[in-house]
Amino acid sequence: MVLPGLKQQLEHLIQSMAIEGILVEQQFAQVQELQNPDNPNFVSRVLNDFCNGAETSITELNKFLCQEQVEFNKLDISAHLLKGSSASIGAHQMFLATVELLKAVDKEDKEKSLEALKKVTHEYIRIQYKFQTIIQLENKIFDIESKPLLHDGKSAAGPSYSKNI
Amino acid sequence: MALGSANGNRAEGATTPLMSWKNNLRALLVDASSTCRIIGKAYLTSYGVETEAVENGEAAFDLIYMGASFNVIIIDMHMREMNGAQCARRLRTMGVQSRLLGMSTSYREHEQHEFLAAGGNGFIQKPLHPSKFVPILQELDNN
Repeated sequence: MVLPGLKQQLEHLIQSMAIEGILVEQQFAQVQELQNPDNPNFVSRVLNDFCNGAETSITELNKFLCQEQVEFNKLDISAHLLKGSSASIGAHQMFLATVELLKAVDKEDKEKSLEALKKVTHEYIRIQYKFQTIIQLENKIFDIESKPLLHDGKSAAGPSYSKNI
Repeated sequence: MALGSANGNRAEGATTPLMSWKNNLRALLVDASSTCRIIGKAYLTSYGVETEAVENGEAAFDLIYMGASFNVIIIDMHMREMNGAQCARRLRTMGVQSRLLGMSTSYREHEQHEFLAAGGNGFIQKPLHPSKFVPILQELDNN
């Protein structure tokens, strides 16, 4: 697929996520603006990191809530961590879900905390799928843009730069 | 977006910082969230601030013990092994005179009181944004 088409696809995906209310477009745009020639894979790197971190936090939160004696102070810290990451990336519904989780944790209400964590998990799954698509599009764009140009302005054939996802 | 003097010219191959400073500004970001560290460090670096980012208070103390110094240290208020206030107290005990800012998406009143009582100077809300940190950097650069 040609470069303009990929970029358009990426733009439409982000816009649709904003319309759905799961992404704060302005916040995400600020993350995109941090991508530059010194940091060409920045968006992919941040999204991968966010997803890895969110899964770790959600696993931890589940573990804490499954204990007979729930350590709400530990829950508080993990929930705050997830809240901060969500806010930084613009993951709006995840952010709101962690706000509700923190309210339940503040009240030391195990049942409400479990309910809130289910909502956090649901919102994570919803956004994670779309973030993976963004990563794939970003990587394809990077592959094309990083290929050296031939004299006639077309990209050279050959292996693209490899990078870790 | 940028306040103060903004340099929009980009040298080929290198990214020119969005702002230039009279002094060599250095920042330390202490945040349990690696996503926040990546974004925060990229932001501050793009504004011409030499930035280190570490996961917790102990890593911050190690840097200070090794002789690193910073104009500003931005501390996540909610970390696992020690919170923002505990981190600030220890930094002051070590003789650190940097501006200490507590950072979070939201603060409980008692957390704010504890942080200030521990030697913290103020707060900056997460997520980091130039509109929040540029005025602080300008103040530090002018002092």
